[in-house]
Amino acid sequence: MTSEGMRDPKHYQLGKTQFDPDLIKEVEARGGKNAQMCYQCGTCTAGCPMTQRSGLRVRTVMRKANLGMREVLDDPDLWLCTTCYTCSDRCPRRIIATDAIIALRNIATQEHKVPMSMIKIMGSIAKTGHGVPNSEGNMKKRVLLGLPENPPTTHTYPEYIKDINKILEVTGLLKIKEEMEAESQ
Amino acid sequence: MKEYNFFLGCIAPNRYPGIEASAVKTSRKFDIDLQDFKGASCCPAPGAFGSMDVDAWIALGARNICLSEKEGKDIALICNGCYKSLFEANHRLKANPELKEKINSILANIDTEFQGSIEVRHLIDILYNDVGTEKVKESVEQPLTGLNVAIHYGCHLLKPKFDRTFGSSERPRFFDELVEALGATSVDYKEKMMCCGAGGGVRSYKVDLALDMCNEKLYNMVQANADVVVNVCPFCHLQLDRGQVEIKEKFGDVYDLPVLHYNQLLGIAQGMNPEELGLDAHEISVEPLLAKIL
Amino acid sequence: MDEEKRIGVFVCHCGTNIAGVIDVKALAEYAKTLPNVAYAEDYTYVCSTPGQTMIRDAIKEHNLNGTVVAACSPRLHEPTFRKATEEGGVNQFLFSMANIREQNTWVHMEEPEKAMQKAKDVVRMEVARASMLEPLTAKTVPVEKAALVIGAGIAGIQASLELADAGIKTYLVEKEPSIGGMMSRLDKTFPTLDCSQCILTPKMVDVERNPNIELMTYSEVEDVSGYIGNFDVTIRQKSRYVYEDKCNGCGKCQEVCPVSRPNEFDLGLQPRKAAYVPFPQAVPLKFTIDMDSCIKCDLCKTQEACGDLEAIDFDKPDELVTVKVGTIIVATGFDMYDVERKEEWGYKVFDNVVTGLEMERLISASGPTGGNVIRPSDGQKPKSVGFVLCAGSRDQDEEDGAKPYCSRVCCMYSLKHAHQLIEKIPGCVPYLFYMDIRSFGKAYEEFYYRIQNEGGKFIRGRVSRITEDPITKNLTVTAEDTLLGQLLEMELDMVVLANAVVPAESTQKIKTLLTLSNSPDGFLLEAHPKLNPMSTTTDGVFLAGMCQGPRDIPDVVSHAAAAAAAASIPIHRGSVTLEPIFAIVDQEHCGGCATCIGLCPYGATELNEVDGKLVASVNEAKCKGCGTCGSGCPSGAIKMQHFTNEQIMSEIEAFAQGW
Repeated sequence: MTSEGMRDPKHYQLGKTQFDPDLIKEVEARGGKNAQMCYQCGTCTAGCPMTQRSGLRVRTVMRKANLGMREVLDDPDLWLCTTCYTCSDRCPRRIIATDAIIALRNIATQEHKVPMSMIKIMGSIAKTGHGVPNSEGNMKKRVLLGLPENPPTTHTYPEYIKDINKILEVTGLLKIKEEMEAESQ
Repeated sequence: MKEYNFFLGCIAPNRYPGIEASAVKTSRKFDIDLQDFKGASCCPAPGAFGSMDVDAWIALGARNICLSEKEGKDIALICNGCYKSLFEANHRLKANPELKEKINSILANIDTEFQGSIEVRHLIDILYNDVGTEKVKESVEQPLTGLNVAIHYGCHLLKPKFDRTFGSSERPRFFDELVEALGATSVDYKEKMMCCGAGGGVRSYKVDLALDMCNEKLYNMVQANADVVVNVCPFCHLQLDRGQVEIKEKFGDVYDLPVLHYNQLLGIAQGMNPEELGLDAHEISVEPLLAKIL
Repeated sequence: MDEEKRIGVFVCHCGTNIAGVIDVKALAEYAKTLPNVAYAEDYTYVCSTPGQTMIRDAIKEHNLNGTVVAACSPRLHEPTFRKATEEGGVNQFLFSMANIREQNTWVHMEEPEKAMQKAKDVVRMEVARASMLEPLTAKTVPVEKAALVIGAGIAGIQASLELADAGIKTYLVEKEPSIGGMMSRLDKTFPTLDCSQCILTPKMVDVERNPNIELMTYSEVEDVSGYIGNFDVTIRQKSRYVYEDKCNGCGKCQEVCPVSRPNEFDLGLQPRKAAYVPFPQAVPLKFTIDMDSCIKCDLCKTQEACGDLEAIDFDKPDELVTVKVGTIIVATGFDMYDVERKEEWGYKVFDNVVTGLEMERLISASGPTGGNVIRPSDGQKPKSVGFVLCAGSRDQDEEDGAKPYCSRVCCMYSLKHAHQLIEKIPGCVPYLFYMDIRSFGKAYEEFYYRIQNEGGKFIRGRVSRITEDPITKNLTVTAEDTLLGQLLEMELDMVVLANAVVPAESTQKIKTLLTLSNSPDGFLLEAHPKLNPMSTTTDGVFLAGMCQGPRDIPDVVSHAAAAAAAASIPIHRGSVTLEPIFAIVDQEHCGGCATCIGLCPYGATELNEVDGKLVASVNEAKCKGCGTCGSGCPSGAIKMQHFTNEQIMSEIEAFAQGW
């Protein structure tokens, strides 16, 4: 018996902490340049507009990524970065921490840990070519301005949409979308 | 007449067509022809889409670039998000042969190959570096004297600085100079270079946090007696304009601060009427602003 | 020349550096199969005493008349093996070196098979070359018993005093009006807190008084020609518009001068006149007129001012002086990183953000405020001061011109500033924003304890941004306390940016004149980073102090003394031996076309009339053996000794034989 907050002595064990040294290599391979060079100065966290209003801590993300703590991929705050790149422009180690976060999100996506809001944007692009498609109300506004109802994009030329879907298919994103949609139902 | 394929993106044509219309109209005064770019799609959104797969993001961006390569025309655009997607895809693919090979192997599935033969330019870059503030000034028929402008550069125009051409992102001046060329005053405000909060997929993922950031910016702008906030990104524009309605609903804070894309402000200064610039379609009324200058 | 060639090949393991990648025994066996090879052997460290003995003994035992060592770079051990060859009774220039380490096993360690193939190729080529080598005799030239020291900061001062005390005539050249350099701007020195002036000014006076030192201030080295032992140096003595022999330093010219401009010595924190000395303790105490700001009102020449001394002459021209020296010490110091480029910290935008050196002047008893530390914005005493460490150091942001190395002084001087603030301003709290405190020197870590104990606050985190309250001019510093994992937004009265030290702009010209190189960090390159940090690859030219890399005062003084010792050796010896690797002209075939005159980068070729015919000749001492003249000579009349066409062709042929 242990009281709350204390650990059962039989659970004290050595060697429990496990790191995955390949995680940071994957981050670098997916565009998180120089990520291993982080020296934990905190310039990123201090400059991040999300720090004061959320649980996102860029330095901590970099720390976990560098040590290979894969739990960082499950952190919902990983998706709170607005990609403003303030951390990256001030980093004394020339690390583009934003791109490292994006790389971690890419890895999380592979593990189906991407928010459905992102999958929805992909769905819209797959269907119309636009992340934010045209609307009836907007068509009227366009006409009043002397513009055609639809812009000369995939909205006017839907024959191009199949190319977009082909790219989504060969990069494996369509499959992730379909699987996640099925999982959420 | 310098011709560009005009890359529209999503928000401008599908939510704020006035931004699209004003870009075309104001550019003509500088002998810049923004032409229909047939078959273009979403750039795709760098934060939301790039977060899922960077290679797919670059490949879809490259698809757009390749369409323009076939026509031999440089691309001009008016959105920082599109700029990030297409400028970076173009820049990275030109600089990195390995990446180019990788992306071209994806594009081969749609019989397309990235060549690296064209440039991707933000219209603000063209206006500042090719046209110049002097010519912009000469085009003014209705000087915006006395107008206090809070400028919002937007993050993806300037950062990461390693992948851009504008220099330091801490105290840039070029956008200020373009606003001042119209006779208006650029007011300094707290946290001027702060993000609007919309990017990275956060607006769709956690809208409250995205709006909390926007709220801070709007508050600081109003504290500095701004009459209007001017941007060069339809997504920032949407966040700052539509966001005010949402902030009012969610947090009860009311600013009624008009929001204009630079092309719209330029249009007013060039003497165009508010209707042809689509100003009546904004969520926050621009009437007080028009009353002040016209 | 026709005697049978008997070459010995010695393959070095270099521990595992070479032997860990390729089969050294197989390489030695391969060498035995090559033409002219009479003997081949391998050994763990050929450069060691047993290794050198092995070469000497093998020469005698096997009657060798040429040697090849396959080991490291000739830059490291060519002299060693030449000596061993000579000791074996063979002319040292009949030795050739095959580099199988730097250019092979170190860079091809992932591909051992290819590395082995390359090692065979290189050994075969060097054996071929050794078979073609000719014995040469080194030339000895006398050394001028004088030295030149460029730069009169603490490094140049120390080096000059050491040389002068060793009986060597020393020319000390300083571009500023006074000697003293950066150290003269400092208040107290860490960790002992002795006052910089108290320990520096006596040395400055010693320099002025020492009969062996000829001090040339407000002067710059304009040209250098010649070679070790015999450098001809042209020095421009810029006009002070004041005759130094007439000026008695009374300062009346300064009193009457109506011009006011920022004093460079005080980093512009206080004004000076157009007639000025940079600081009252200047050496020499001779006034200078800054003609760029002088309005030629002539007030300084009036009876009330300079008057009968007649020391001032607005038309006094610059003078060019030529001196002959045997050796040269470069002590050109450093600059401070232009921290304005880190726009997020607002230097030069916000009044109360200053640099480390500015804080030094503000805290200095001889500074503009007499040592009262005040905020530039309102003259108030700061009660909270932030220190941003690594401001441009340990930073790879090339766009901002920042430097990847540690500047080695900023931690310690910031600790010292913290101590001084606590001492001078009751209640003042210094906050040091650091990533690592590097207090590595003697009594340095103890000094760190002392500041902790005095109440200095240490925050482990780098400042992301500084903003200013436009009304109070107080600063808000944003950083993460990385130990707490907490965002800090601290309102502070003042911030000191401990900016990096960077290579001096003015060193560039000296570097070119003396054909020196720089390391990737931009500082001057030493002959060897560990074993010869005070010499350069140009014989007779030595380095002292910060021009070679960041270091603190004790290290600068030691380095300068080492440079002085090294520079005095050739002078005391009286002669130096020159490499016979120079070009010679076959005057019979020379057509006197003068092509080589224009080609030589060292001015070593000249055209003379011999027997009524114009022919070229090469000054053996000036020639660096680059071979440019020979490759350009249309009649093939120039031979590059030790690198003859035949020798080079034999190497190429041997290379081709392997493929």
